[in-house]
Amino acid sequence: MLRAILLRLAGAIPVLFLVVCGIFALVHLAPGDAASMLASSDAGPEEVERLRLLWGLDQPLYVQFGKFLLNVLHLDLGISLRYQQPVIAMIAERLPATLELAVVTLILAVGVGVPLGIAAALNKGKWIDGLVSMIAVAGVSAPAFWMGILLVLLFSADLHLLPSSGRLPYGTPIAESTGFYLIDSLKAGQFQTFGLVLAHLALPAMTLAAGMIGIIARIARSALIDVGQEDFISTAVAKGLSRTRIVRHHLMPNAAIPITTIIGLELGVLMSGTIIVEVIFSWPGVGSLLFQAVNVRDTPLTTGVVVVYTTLFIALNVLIDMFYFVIDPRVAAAGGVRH
Amino acid sequence: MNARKFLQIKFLVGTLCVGTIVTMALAGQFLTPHDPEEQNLIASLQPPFDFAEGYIFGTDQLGRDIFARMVSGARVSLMIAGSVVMISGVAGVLIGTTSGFFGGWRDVALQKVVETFWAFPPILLAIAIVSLFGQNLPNLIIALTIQRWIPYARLTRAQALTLRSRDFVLASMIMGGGTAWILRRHIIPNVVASAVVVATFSMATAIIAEASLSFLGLGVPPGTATWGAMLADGRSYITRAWWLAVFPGLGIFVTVIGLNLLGDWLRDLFDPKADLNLV
Amino acid sequence: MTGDPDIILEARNLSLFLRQDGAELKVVDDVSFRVARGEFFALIGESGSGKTTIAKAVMRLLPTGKLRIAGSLSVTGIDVARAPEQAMRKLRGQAMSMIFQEPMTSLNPIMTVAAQIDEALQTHQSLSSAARHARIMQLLSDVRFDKPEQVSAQYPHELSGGMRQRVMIAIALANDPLLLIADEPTTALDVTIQQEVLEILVRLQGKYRLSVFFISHDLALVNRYANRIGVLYGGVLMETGSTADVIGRPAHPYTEALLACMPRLREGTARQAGIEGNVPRVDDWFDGCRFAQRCTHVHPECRSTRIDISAAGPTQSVRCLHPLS
Repeated sequence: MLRAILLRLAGAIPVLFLVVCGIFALVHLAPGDAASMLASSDAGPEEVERLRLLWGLDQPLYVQFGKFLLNVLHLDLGISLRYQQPVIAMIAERLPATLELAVVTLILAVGVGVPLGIAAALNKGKWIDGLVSMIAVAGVSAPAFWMGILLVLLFSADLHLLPSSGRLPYGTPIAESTGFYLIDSLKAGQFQTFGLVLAHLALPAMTLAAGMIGIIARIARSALIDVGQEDFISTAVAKGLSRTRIVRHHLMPNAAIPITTIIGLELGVLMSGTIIVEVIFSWPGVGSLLFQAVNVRDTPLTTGVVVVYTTLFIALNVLIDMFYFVIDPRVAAAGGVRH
Repeated sequence: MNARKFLQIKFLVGTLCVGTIVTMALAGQFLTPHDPEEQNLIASLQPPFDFAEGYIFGTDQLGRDIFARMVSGARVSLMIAGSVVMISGVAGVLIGTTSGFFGGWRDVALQKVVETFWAFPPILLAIAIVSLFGQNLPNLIIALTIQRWIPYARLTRAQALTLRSRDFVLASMIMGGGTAWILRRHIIPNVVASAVVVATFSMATAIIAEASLSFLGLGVPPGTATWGAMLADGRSYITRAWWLAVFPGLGIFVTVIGLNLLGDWLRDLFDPKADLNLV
Repeated sequence: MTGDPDIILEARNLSLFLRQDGAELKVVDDVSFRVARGEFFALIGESGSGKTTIAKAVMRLLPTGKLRIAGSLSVTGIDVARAPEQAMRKLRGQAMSMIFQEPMTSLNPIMTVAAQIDEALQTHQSLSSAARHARIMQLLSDVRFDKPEQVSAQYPHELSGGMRQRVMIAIALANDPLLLIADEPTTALDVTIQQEVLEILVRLQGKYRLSVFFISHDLALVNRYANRIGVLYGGVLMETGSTADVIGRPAHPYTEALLACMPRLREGTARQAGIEGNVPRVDDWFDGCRFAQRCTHVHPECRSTRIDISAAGPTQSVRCLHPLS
């Protein structure tokens, strides 16, 4: 099994390498002199020349690529043009906000989606089944930016039930340690702050989770129905097991396998979604950072965020594959899962 | 209600939704006396359902008729999404078939390409391309197709692989049928059905993707009315004039739900047991 | 609860109806048989004869919405048709167990062998974990595993088909059942493994006074192991009797036709290719013998008269107007 894990990790490295190559190619294929792209728009020709020498842009391409690769490996993603700070530091500062939102969304999506799927499967053909199916299609079809605006309209604008921007009301003190406000506020015993953090997470997480809930519910339903037809379920009934026991110990664990697959497939959508949702809710994460970077044509910052986001995505996919080793003993025997 | 009836409902509602939007795009201008670009500051931020003045969905901050803008926005969105789906579909099927049918180094190389492109989270590449290469229509189309061809490639590759070793294909090869002929007569027809299902779902995501980019200000050049851009505009007026954002979003919602329902129906039609999650 | 305590399974005028989409289909008609304590009873039939439906009915694996049981079907005196689900759950895995046809898919792929046997134990008994562990080892030895410790920690995909079937038997035996229902347990296995599994079953039958209700299509296979045989055709029980009688002196023409296809069982007969004709359709229930169209000894009245069961020897009963003598 260790061998299979190492193989999977090793398999991610060529992809990572190709991705970095691709990003480099993208930046250098872009129109406009690379130097003037890397300089701010009001730089004079001497400034541009200085930058060209500084960044080694007069060097042959392969040298530049080598430098780029080395920098990336040392986690040096350059300096932001607009903010004059190291890109990596800016991203690191905002990463916890995005990760916290993503994790809470995932918990929400699975926490609501799976029970809905179970309800639909156990009541197959009845009205609950149809209702879940409709919710699923609606959730998937409503674009995040519209859903977000609707939720704001519903909960925030008129009813003032939930806040619609930021992670906390302006000026709220928080004892930051991990950057994950849910954890931080609990650690410091600031329960009221904890409540505020949750309230601020509510709308963005619901917006982001809407589509995922639909898909997870559908997959959970079909996975349960498929597993329910398997022979070993008859064996379980023949043993005299109660319905609860069969669902909990035989149906669910086996259905978890395709559900995990779909979560893996939805990760990409989740990550892209955070970009839009962070913009709508003024969430201080990496997604809104990307938005700002793109707006002011800050190429180092844009490139840096793309590198980090993609690396994160690749890492999460590897993690999901690792999770398979835990839930399915057949995977290790087969030498690892291929999607 | 059983599965059969449910399927029929999907078809009916799906066709109804898509049909409404397409009709709106084609003939919507006859329902409103106003031009999408026509500004009328006196009539700005008028609430909807004002049939006397012909402001079915109200007006925006510059007094432009929302419905008229939605009609022209529908055209733009549908055309962009449609061309994106077609280009990515054709490219994907070609690449996938080559990969699966010929195998060898071509397959290995193409698979690596697929893996690399697939490693990027969906909209991220599109954002990067538009911001680096400039905001114009060709770039937008490239940005939207750059990953969209992959599900087709995967699907057709898998099918080409199985078909390649089937007896009737081998027989054709022995009888001297040219490769192109085999591809055309045997491989492609088998692949088309699944490709159409993928295309339907892909159209839905393409519309959302284009709208998302427009929402972020990275879609079609500014000024053109697209639903995404209208939503972005409407955001600032959400408390005063909800109709600016709600109606364009509703348009996207109806289109996408219709396409998703039709896609479900098609998928069940071709293979009731399959659960293609390649979108 | 009535009847002879030595009769573990009894069917009397049992008819079974499958229900789907509001319609009902009779698949088994007026079947009667008994299985005594410690007896190996084989129910032989072709595919579509209704034998698997009878097996499922005994366990009531199909809910009332899918299967209607008419007549009497009782296990240790308890009426399966009318018992509440709670009572059935107590019976399943305890008084009666079942093993199935496809060992490759009949075990939960993500649970170890030990966990699956343990589950059976925990459902019906309260033993300490040490006692359960000991019991699991004992069961695995009973089914001829040389290294019970090793097997118990393995997952189903690490075992061959024959090994998985033996694990299924171990699970079935966990709570000392009185009745073991075996639904074609060897059909999907190689010939040598088939013998092995049957040897195990017979040994357990002897050691624990276990009743075995064995469903199969293979007369030759059960010849060596069964005490009594029932022959099922088109949903109707044509003949029952001791193995020696049914195979040595068959009373029903269908049994004879079956035997003629298996010359290994009888010396000096030329092998017959098969039986001409087809089994009558399940939705076509007519008066008269279901085998009449294909019977070589048929008489005109066979096609139209309702036929009752008659005795045909000390151990045999037959449903035929003109049984063979």
